[in-house]
Amino acid sequence: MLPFSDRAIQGAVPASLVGAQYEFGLRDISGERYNPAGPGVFVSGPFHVDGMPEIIRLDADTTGTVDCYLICRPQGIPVTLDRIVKSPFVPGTAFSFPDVWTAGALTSADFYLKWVFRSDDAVLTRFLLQITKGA
Amino acid sequence: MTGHSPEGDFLARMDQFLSVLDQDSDAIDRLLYAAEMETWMVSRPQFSGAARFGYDLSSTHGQVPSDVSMVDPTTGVRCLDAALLDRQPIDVSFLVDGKLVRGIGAPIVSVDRTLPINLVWSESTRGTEETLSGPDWTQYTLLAPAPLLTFKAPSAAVILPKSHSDEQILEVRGQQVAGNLPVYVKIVFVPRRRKVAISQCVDKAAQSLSAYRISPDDIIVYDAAQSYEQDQDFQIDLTAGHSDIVPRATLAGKTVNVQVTEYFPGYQCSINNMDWSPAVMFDAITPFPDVRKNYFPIAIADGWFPVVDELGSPLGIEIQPVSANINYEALLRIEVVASSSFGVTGTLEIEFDRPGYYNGLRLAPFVNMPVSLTQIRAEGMLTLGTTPPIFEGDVLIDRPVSIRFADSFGKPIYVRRLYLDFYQPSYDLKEHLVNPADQARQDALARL
Repeated sequence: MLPFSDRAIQGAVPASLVGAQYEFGLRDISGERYNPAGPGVFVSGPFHVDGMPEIIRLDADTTGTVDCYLICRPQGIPVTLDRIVKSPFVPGTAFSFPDVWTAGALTSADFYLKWVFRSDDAVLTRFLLQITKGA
Repeated sequence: MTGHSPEGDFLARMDQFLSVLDQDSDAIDRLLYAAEMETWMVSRPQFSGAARFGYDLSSTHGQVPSDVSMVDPTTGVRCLDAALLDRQPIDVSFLVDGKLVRGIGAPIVSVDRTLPINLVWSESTRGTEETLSGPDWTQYTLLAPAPLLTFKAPSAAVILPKSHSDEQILEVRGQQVAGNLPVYVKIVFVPRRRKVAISQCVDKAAQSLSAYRISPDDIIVYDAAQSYEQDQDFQIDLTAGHSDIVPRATLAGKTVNVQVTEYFPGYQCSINNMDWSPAVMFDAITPFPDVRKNYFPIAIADGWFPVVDELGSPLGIEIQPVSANINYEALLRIEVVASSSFGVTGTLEIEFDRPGYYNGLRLAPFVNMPVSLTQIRAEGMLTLGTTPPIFEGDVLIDRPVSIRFADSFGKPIYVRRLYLDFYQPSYDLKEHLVNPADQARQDALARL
């Protein structure tokens, strides 16, 4: 009798696993602490219009507290300093430019939108400014 | 020098390729935002003949002047940073209440980031699972034997006759054992011979021979002494849905047997609505009209009959007739509608290196099938042991994202641990070959 088994031993047989595999994978995981700096100002423009502007409308997609101011740089009159013509200019509203402009007829104008981000979560995603021209 | 080793060179090249992919992905996002801007613009009230100026700030900042005052018109103060430069808003893209907010946002001084020290997945295991994790990444994989689907209770709708489509002919229970194909069931009336004993016949007193329609042509009435003739000894009343025998005077007082052919309700099944299984009668004792022709093994339990395929193999669904309504031929479709609850949910517990006030969580996906984030719960010092949700919703995590959260005052939340509930509805069909744990030992023994 042999002191060991003489039976042939089979090598390791891998097992097959078949099925529906669901995966969750996440990287760059970190907790964040945003330290706000306070209000910030962003100015967009110029938006040039020939002739005398008539109706001006603003639409915007914002989050948090964002104030908008419409600035006009006139041309065709003696004093061409920048003037705020709508303060604040609330998105979704329109106004008549001749009703607020008392400095005379313009040959053209450059408009600027000044955005002030007041809250920590303030975000401006997009805006649309529409300006019609008087006859 | 790692940078000159093959491994370092490979990693450097890989970083460059990934950087190109990142930039391409970013450019595509900007194009999509620009296209979205066009859609948004036309959805606003339009002034005809107006000059239009607009930008999507996540796509471009547009024209920016250098000669316009940066003073806040309301406060009259110029917003300067520590270096006395104008504080400029920054590009932002983050999730707030499950909504992606992007564009330019309020300036920040800095962002403090804290890595987790512990990432633990918890889930209801329904298969073979594997969890891998590193300092700031984790992957959880579940290999389920089959796609994780749940089904609602089956329903049997009457397709024909259409005038009875709102009636319930069958009660249904069970679940399909394979697949989820609709099964058609045809209600048929199968002729079968039946013996009815009538004792003490009374002249002109009708007796029912069957609850169902009977054939008037092959009725035999007999007793031990003789047989009796239709219209002479008895009459058959089939009017107004009756299936009655009406004895005449010659049968009065006698006990007779009646052999009659009745049309008993049964059913046939089909998956393709063309080939049908042999008819099975709704009679648990005698389910087949002729066992020599149509027999197949059938298990009927407590009056529930199995729905089968064309060959008679049970599909896992059982039916029971509603006796009050089973009085006409009909075609029904039995469907098992999938429930809206499917896939896998998992909760990731994130323990931070140091508890503190946080107002955001940064994470990026790295598997093929993006997951949905459905809830974030926070455990902090004031909420130890309890985990109130700070976000509830359903947002797809298909790109690196910063998830912002805050308390009811908009301030950061003291967080010790975060619990993120994810939902993965998608899967890959996979086959893995797994070597046994003692592979080396088995191979060594085999080589002896």
